[in-house]
Amino acid sequence: MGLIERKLPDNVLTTSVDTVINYCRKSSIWPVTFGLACCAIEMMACGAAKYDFDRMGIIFRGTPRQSDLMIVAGTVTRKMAPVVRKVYLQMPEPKWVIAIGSCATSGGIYNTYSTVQGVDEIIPVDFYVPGCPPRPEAFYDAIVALQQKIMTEKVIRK
Amino acid sequence: MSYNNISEVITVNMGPQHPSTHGVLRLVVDLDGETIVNVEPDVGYLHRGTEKLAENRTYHQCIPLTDRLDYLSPLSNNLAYCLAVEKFFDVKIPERADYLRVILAELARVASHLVWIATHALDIGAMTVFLYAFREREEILDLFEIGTGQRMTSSWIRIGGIRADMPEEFFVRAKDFVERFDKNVDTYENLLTNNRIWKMRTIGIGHLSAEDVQDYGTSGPLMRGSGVDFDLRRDEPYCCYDKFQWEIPVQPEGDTYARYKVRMKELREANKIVGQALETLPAGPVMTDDPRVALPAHEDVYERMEALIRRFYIVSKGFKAPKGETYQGIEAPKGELGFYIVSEGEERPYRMKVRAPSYVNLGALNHMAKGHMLADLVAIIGTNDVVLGEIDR
Amino acid sequence: MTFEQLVQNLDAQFSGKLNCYTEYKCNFIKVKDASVYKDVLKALKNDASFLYIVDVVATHWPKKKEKFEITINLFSIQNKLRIFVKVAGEDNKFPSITDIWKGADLMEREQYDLMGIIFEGHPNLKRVLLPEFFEGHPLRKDFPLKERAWFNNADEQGLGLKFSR
Ligand code: SF4
Repeated sequence: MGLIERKLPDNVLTTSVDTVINYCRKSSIWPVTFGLACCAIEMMACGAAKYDFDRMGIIFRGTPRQSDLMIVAGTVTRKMAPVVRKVYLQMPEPKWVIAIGSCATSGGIYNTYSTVQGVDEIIPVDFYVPGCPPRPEAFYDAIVALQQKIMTEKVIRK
Repeated sequence: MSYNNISEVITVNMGPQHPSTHGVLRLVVDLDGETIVNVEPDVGYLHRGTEKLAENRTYHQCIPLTDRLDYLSPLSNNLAYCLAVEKFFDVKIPERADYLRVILAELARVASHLVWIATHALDIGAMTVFLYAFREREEILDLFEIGTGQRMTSSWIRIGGIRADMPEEFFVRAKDFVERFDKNVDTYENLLTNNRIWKMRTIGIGHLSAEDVQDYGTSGPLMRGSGVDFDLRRDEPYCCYDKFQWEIPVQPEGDTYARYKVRMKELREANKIVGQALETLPAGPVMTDDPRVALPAHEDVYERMEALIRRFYIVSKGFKAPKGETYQGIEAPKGELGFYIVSEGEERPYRMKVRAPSYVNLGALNHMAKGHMLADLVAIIGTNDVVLGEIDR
Repeated sequence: MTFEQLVQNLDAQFSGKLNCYTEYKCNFIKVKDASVYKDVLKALKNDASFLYIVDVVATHWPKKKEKFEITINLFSIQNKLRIFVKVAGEDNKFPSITDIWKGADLMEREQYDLMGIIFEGHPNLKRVLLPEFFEGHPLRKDFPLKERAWFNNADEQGLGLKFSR
């Protein structure tokens, strides 16, 4: 934020609309609760007392229509794939996706007849977090990276 | 309640993306007004093909697969699988390993029950318990991390013993945790046991009679909550549970509140077992020296050629189990968890069938939910304590 | 009641039709004559207190004459005794035991789904873990391990999903 000297009263700051909107967006990311497997338990642990995602403005929502982030935590199977896609489509723009765990990123150890080899086959993914399951710190890292990415986005003029 | 004058039955879909179904469970509910006429669980949204995968893994390589079945208590799954494979060889497990297995399995039970109380209470509307229970769970996960290097899927229990001994810090912190834990259970009980809302939401809900539980094959707290005194730790002894003093909580009422009480008591009993095991832990090795299953020790590998070859052979090709079939069930947090292994005398299991407690318990869901309100279904799912990784495998 | 006593009682009732043995600390009762299979199970439940059904397991033996085998895992809480009742057949048809134990319903459905065993008399025999449009039965030995061609067989919800890996 810059300060145009002498032209405005002292308590007026100037910045771009993009920055303000992005700043708001990055500080109140509401992910949709979408636990699929083991990694979802770590996601719950992130939301609970010790790691406490709330302090980053993250509040888990039960419905995709109120959220702007989808954390795909766990194994995506063929039976689940249409559901994942549908939940993604129900989310309003702007929306981001984080794939948590090796299952969601690449199928992980489950190279079998029923497992989708990476959730990026069905929805676009912004960040991949490796690990089986990743530690909550890795979740944090993904969120911080996402916040940085949000700050670079152009809102008014695409 | 009678359904003779059903006016109109509507079908409601619950899940698979639903915050209170504990994962990707889908229920198709037939409703007459608010009353449940029929519930059909539709599972398989997490079917990953573990059993097929296991047929192409060596016995050692199967252990990480078992972690991911019941991911709330990975170590009990390791234990059940390893005990089943050990039955083929009749290996003698060193005493210290047996004790450490008990400690790990019981800590896993505590961790699993903590997730249960957290989510069960959260579903019914008590948010505070969730935060408290996860605080304690974090401590247990920290313990696992100190002892085994991983928070959840540690694969620490191996065929023939455990991977390695725990560092001193593990025992210090575990003792500290055990001392405090009873008080924490008091906290949860203070919040719930005499809470009027909690009682109204759980007493008389999801009734199962003593005949029903056996007929449906439901096990674990569901069975003990219906007055059947059955616990595999005592009735089909494994490890060294007979060396400790503990009780099996049984409640005759058979409703959700009774099962709540059973699980709360189990938390305390599990904690008691861990305490005693830590007190009386014998010294000694933690891995059997039976050459058929055990990897040669590292010191040997560096010095002796035969040990090096043997280690290389076991790691790359695996060891052969004799021909036959065997089964081992353990009292996992959710009920009887069993591995039925068919061996054709090769390095891989010919067929591995996981007897998953949650899957079988789910079979009784319709019976439990019939005639209740839709809102009670959430309480019934919670008391069933389903974990989808195990149901779908 | 120990396993020996149980075997004696059963032998009196079904002489020559059973083969009882203990292997790796597990007690097996192999029903050689499939026609008495359900009678054996009924006798076990009603007379020998095997009220608790633990599991139903199906095994595929493509190289043997009797290609499919069912193992019923039972536990008697009263006697603290676990037994496995086995029956084998050349084709994949076996009588359902849902009328004896209600819990067998879901267990048999799973074996139908994964192994393709037809349980005759089962009230609701359809796939449980895999979607309806899946072809074949994955736990059979001749099922390819990694092949995922069926992924594109259906587009249930019309979302235009395409799988390439
Ligand atoms: S990455 Fe590992 S922990 Fe996560 S869902 Fe897959 S198997 Fe489970």
